[in-house]
Amino acid sequence: MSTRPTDNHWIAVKTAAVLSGSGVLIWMTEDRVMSRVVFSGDLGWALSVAAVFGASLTLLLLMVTIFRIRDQRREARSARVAPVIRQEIAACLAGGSRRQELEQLSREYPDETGQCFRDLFLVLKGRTNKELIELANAVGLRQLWELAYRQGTTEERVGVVRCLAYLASEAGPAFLAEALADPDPDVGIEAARTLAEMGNGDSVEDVYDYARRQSLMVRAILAEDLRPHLSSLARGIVASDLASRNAARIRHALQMMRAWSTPLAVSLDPLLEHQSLVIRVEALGLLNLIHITGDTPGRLRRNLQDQAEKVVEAAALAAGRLHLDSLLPELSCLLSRPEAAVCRAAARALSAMGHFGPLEDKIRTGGSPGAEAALEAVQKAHTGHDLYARVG
Amino acid sequence: MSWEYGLWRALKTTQYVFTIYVGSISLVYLALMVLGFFVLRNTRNHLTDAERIALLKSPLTPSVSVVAPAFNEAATIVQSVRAMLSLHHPDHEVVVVNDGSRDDTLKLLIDEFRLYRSARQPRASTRCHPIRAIYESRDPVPLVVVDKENGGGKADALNAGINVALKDLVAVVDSDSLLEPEALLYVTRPFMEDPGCAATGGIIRVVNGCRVHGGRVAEVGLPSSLVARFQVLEYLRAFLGGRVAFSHLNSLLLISGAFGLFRRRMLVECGGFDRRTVGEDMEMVVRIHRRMREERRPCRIVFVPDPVCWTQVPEHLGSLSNQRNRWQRGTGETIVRHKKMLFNPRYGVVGMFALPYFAAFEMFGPGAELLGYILTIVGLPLGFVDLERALLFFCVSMLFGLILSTGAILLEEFTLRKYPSVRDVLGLFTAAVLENFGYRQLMAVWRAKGLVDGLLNTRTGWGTMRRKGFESR
Repeated sequence: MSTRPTDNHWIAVKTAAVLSGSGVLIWMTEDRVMSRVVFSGDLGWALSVAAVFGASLTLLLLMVTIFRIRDQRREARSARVAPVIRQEIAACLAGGSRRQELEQLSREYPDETGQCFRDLFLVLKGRTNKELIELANAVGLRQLWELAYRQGTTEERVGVVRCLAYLASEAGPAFLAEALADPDPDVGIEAARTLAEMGNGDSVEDVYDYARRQSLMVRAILAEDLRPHLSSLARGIVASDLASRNAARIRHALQMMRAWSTPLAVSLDPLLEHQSLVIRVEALGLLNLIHITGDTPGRLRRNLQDQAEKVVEAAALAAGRLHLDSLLPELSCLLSRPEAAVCRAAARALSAMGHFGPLEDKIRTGGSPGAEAALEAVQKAHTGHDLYARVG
Repeated sequence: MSWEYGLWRALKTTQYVFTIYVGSISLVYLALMVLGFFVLRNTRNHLTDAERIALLKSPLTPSVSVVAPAFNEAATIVQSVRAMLSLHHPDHEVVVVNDGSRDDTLKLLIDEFRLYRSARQPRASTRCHPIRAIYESRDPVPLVVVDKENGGGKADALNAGINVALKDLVAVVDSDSLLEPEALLYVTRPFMEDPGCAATGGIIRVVNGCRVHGGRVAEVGLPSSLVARFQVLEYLRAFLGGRVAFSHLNSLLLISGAFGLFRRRMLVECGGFDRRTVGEDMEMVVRIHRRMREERRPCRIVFVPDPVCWTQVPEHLGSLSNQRNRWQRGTGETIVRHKKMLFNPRYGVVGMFALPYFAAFEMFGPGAELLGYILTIVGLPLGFVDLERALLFFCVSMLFGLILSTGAILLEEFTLRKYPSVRDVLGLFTAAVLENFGYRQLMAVWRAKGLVDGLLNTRTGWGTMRRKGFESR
């Protein structure tokens, strides 16, 4: 759970305001009331505190009750009206002449009408979507949504971003590009998702660029929205990021590739010799998704002989996934290493390649991390499900 | 100066100190509650359907090993494991640690999930009693059962689970608890938002009184037992009032042992859970804070108020007394072990505020409350406390308790609103009034005894708790 840094300042200000306001109220209660009724100072103060907070909580309790009743009534009204509104929208989209009735409903129930349109924007595509845009403009939802976007809560603003973009038609991508820079990250994510849905070339690269600057969670979410544009991204910004000198850019590009888990026409060969261990490990984990060149086994071999345990582990797993028989001697040698993680990776690779001979030999010798790893891998192969499938 | 006058002065001074103490504790609680309210209002926990689906599909979502220690849990183990296996997460495994149960826990698991003895080896070596065997399922379910020798308490069992766990994150859960299907995804989220996140904890709610079907809470309700109902209120106060605010100040000291998520690497680096304390959950969190601050590494420990772990609370006074005694001993042991951090600016807000707060109010609070009752009872016949004043003081203290409870119920109403019926909310208010007549005093006695037991080391271990199956309610 996290709040935005700007919110943090507000939270501090509001908390301080409530507490100091309460302090003033307590002082006034003690000064004007309690000191005249209760003659003991400390008890008078305690009673003042209790009276002020008790009164505030009673007020809040009243508000809770009012909010509950209001929400219940609103829900009941929505449940009653929404089907009628949807029916009218459907009639209008089907070419019926019910526009006046819909306009009437929109005037009476603007929130419910807006919600029905928002739901439909999520599911209707193509020509029907265009008709829906016209209809929403005709019933005057644009002003309502613009107001919500300017002054609403985060939830309301997120709710209208998509609709406003569609209503803006050709100007939609420009509006969304502006929304991407919104200080509220939730609005930014929604804008990015809509932009990925509506956009072309440059605007999709803007979304990718936005994802790169955000947290891992945002990248995980936007990776799905960017999936339809994979080939153009792979040719453009992903390829240039992978060739960049900036380690963070490379790492983020590799993370996006991992999120897509789809074969891409990019080269990772130079990254197998990158100075950053993290990048090398990440690149080794993605080798099965790209085209392998003649140099790849050689680079993998060098990684299998690396000093860093993590790199050797990742290289062994990659060799197993790619079924590179030429690396069999190196993988067999790894079974004799003292590091249990390396032995396990090598055993798993050999098992994936179907070479059980070295594993069985190792089991027979027993008493070493390699023998234990070999036994584990052979048993896994026989039981049929591989718990390490996602670990590499 | 006569001795009577001396005694009178001493008692009077104690009375003033006591009044100041009660005033400070109440004000700090209120301040935390106000802060918690604004934090909850400004936090958007909700994920849209599309975001949730994306995260549930994504290989970028960190993998989780759910470690559940089990000791004589035959009544609930199968249901709990089924519920844990069906949690919504893209990559999670369930590691059940059978801590040398004397009932049919292991046999039930072997039969129900078709377990075989696995060749899987531990991945880490945090201290724990010897592991007798590791089992995995013949069915395509990510279930691992670790059978270990009994001893060392829950911490020992957790360490065995951490050693066998494979994934990046380790979720520590009680095997008698039920997690909501998406709880794991929601507590994983802070790790994806902030690479410096070391641990997260979710809210614990009381399952007593709820209707459970198929290992899930189908209908939320209040328990009929008054003792359990008081505990509902206590949990709301503790989680919504205190932990939200402490988390916001990055000084959360306690992630409940019933549901917490840790970076596995961090647990292994810290040497696993401490087997010498019964408050291993709090001790681990304080140790992480301490280590990270000493090494000047970024560290965030986050409380997530939305994902819910439902737990059974004791309805029998004997079990409840054991539990509170243990909690109090755990708090005391942790504070004593990390006393170096108290008022030490090197440890930031944790050293300057959170730990002193726990020491002054959570550790010694029950003792002070008990002292207040004793002083009043002794002071009345001796004449240094008059009856009218004592009654007024009791009313004020009750009013404060009521304010705090009402505040917690309001926080719940304004933010999460898990209790849908107005009758339940009214039931909670009634409990908030009634708990002042007997329950609070009983708690003070048990907790004070726990503190003494902890300091004198006269009692160790966990004690026993009577369990019911979930679906029986």
